[in-house]
Amino acid sequence: MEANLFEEEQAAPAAPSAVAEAGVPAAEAGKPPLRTRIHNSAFARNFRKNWTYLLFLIPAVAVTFIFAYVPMYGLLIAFQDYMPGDPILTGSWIGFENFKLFLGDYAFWDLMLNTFLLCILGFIIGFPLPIIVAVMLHTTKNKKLSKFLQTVFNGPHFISLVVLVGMLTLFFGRYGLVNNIIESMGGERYSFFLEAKAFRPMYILSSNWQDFGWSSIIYLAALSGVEQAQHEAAKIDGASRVQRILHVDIPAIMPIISVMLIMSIGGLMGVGYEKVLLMQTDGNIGVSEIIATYVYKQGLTPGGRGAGYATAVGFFNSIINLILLIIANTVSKRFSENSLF
Amino acid sequence: MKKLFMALALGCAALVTLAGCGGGDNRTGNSVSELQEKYGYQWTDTSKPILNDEGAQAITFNIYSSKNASALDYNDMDVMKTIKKQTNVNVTWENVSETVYGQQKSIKLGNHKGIDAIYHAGMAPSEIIKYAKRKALLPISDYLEYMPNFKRILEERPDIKSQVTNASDGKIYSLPRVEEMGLKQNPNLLFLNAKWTKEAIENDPTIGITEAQVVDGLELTAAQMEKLLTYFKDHDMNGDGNTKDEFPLNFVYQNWQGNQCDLYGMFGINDNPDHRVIKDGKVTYTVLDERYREATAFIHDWIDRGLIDRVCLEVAQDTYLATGMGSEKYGAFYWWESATVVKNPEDYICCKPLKGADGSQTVCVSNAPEVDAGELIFFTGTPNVEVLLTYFDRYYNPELSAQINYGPIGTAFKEEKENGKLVAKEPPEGLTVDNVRLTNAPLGVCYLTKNEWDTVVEMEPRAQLRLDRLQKYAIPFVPENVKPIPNLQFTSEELNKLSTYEANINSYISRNLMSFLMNGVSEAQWNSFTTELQSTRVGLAQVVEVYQAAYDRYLGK
Repeated sequence: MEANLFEEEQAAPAAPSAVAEAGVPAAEAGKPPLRTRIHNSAFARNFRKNWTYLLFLIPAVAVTFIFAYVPMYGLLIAFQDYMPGDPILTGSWIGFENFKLFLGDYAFWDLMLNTFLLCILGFIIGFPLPIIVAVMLHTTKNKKLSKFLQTVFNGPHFISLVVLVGMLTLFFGRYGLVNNIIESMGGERYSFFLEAKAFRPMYILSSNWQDFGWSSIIYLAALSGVEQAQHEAAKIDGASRVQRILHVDIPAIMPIISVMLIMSIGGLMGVGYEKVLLMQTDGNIGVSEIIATYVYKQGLTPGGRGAGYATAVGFFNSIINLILLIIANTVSKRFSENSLF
Repeated sequence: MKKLFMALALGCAALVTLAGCGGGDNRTGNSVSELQEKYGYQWTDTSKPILNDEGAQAITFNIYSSKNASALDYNDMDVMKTIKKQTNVNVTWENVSETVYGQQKSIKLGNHKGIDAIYHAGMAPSEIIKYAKRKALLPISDYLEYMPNFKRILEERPDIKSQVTNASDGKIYSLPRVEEMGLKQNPNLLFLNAKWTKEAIENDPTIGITEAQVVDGLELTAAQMEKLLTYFKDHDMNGDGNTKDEFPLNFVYQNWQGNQCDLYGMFGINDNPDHRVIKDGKVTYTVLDERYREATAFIHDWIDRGLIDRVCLEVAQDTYLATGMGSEKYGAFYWWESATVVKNPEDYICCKPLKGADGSQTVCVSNAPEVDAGELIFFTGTPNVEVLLTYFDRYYNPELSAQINYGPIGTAFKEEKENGKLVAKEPPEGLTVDNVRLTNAPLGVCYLTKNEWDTVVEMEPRAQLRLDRLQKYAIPFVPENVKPIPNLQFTSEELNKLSTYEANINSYISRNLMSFLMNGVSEAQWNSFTTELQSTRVGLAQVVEVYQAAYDRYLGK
């Protein structure tokens, strides 16, 4: 929706200027105001032609504005010694104190590293998986089976995080299913929740298990748009199934893949705190303390440094995300001509 | 398009700013002399009404309070009705659940329109300092003459006074809850399965105790305990055909009670979950004790051999209790009392603390104060606030305190006193004492100390039992020179320092201790742990300094 808005707005000024340039020689010399008049009327014409579409945009623009832009004034408290109840615009300003405190904090590098590793590992496994699944489902000859599998794969997405972590403790707890199996096969019981090594695999794999089916939907949609004629042509040329996937399907959905890639890189450091917090124990806190859980503890629990500091940390995290997004977008633009903006 | 955006933006901004306005208080304030004249306000006689009937009509207050899920609405509670009748002060309660209060607390503190005070406020000293600085909280200490009970308490108990006095400006901003039963300081008791123990000593005489010794008050050395636990582990003690489902020794790691800390007593360390006690008047971190490494390695050894199952480090209280209440699995366990943990408490005996190889024998000294300093706060700008303060001062009347804490006479207590004391009444069929208490008692502001237990109200039997056990099996083993850390009040600079370092220190210690307990600890690892802990980067010294200063202030130095 937002991408559309961008294109719409960029297209609008581009088109009239082309018209204007074509119009100038026809109108001959000595009438400079004409250029703007044509420009305006072209814009107006364009607007009149498309006003119904623009009308559809209003709710999206309004919602984005009210819920994403208006609350941004809350970021001001990152620069204040803020207590709930203080006026936001005239609070006690302390400049970049909160940021300095965070950058100099003992936990800073651990937090950055933990957040980055958890996200990048999750990304490396979690990004290609839905693509592979989508291609597999798409090429399955038995359409009924394909639909059935798709439903099965989507199921876990609807489990709430709390329930999911409850399931993990039931299965991977010291007296859970997995340990019972290990013991019956002669192994030693293993404390999955206390061993720091076990945290990342458990977190990442359970997240991916939960979401691979759901994330594959967008690729399935893209794949269904691939023209049959191309497949038929490839078949006539004697391409095998694998070759058809590699040379027809994948190139066809490449634009979607790169958009998704840019967006997930942009959200790379933006992992939520809920699941990590639920899985956190004294045993794994060395690897499971990430920026999001740190923000939660500092901002909302007693003994934390308060809302201002937590906002500053969160803001810092968002800036990193934005930088990553811009880098990913620039790289993608340079090499593949696909980009968000 | 641009103009449209501007219009939208301005409109939204206006909406946001407008949301902050509106409302107002239409009650009229009176000076104290007006109150005396018009409404018969009196505060000196704590047994007579505070206002006359006109005052009861004219003056009202709104109190915001959380309540537990099973409690009646405070407006409908008999205790509250009694107090209203006795005082003629018209107080309306606005009750919310504890969860809602948790979410609303900071909002209500920030915008206290229509609220005169917060009961069950649960204010941390840091919050009180910050809101006092913003002039939101009423300095109660300026009104002490209207609060005869509280004034008396502060005079009699300088320690309570220093626990509620703001370190920055020397004023008092909150009313405390005081319930001193002497139960919280040593939170653990060791219970041992007598049936299993008898079976073990019969089959393994090397354990070195006789069957006659297996009664309450049994004293075991570390070596004896180790043999006993090993026997529990290797045999099918509960007779279900599985030798692997017995848990020899159990606790809930880092819980406020029933925790691992008593095990460190075998090495003469008075640990607690904060790892922080007062020793010889100095604030001390127990992990820096020279024997702490030895103790940790010893406990790791028990964990490694399965005498303490790793599940103790993993689960929280609920799972611990649920496992205990299932089939008989616990050989020995630490808890507050035995009846909540196992189905057959009669089979478990209460032991003295374990005795270490060198004869060291002591217990956990916990920093759980019996005074809740921030139980009730008042907001500035409340009209006729003197009346409200006198009203809440009545809560410290001993008989009212007892009823607030347990429930009204006639429901929780018998109508007739015995030996001049209030005595608990049998709960109605199908209800427990706890049910009655949670439904009918508001809890909160009260003052019950040794004097009150001796003269006004009889201690409940479970508390009495626990107190007896503590007198025999815990308190005698606490060295003279070790004290818990009370509620301390900090200045803003001190609070800033604490917020910079303390959370990191706690997480650094707990992370490392867990790893040592799981995987063992070498001398070198321990040295690097303590060196790093005391480095300026982690900043232990700074935190100790702050606590020491606050503690000295508490002592009145």
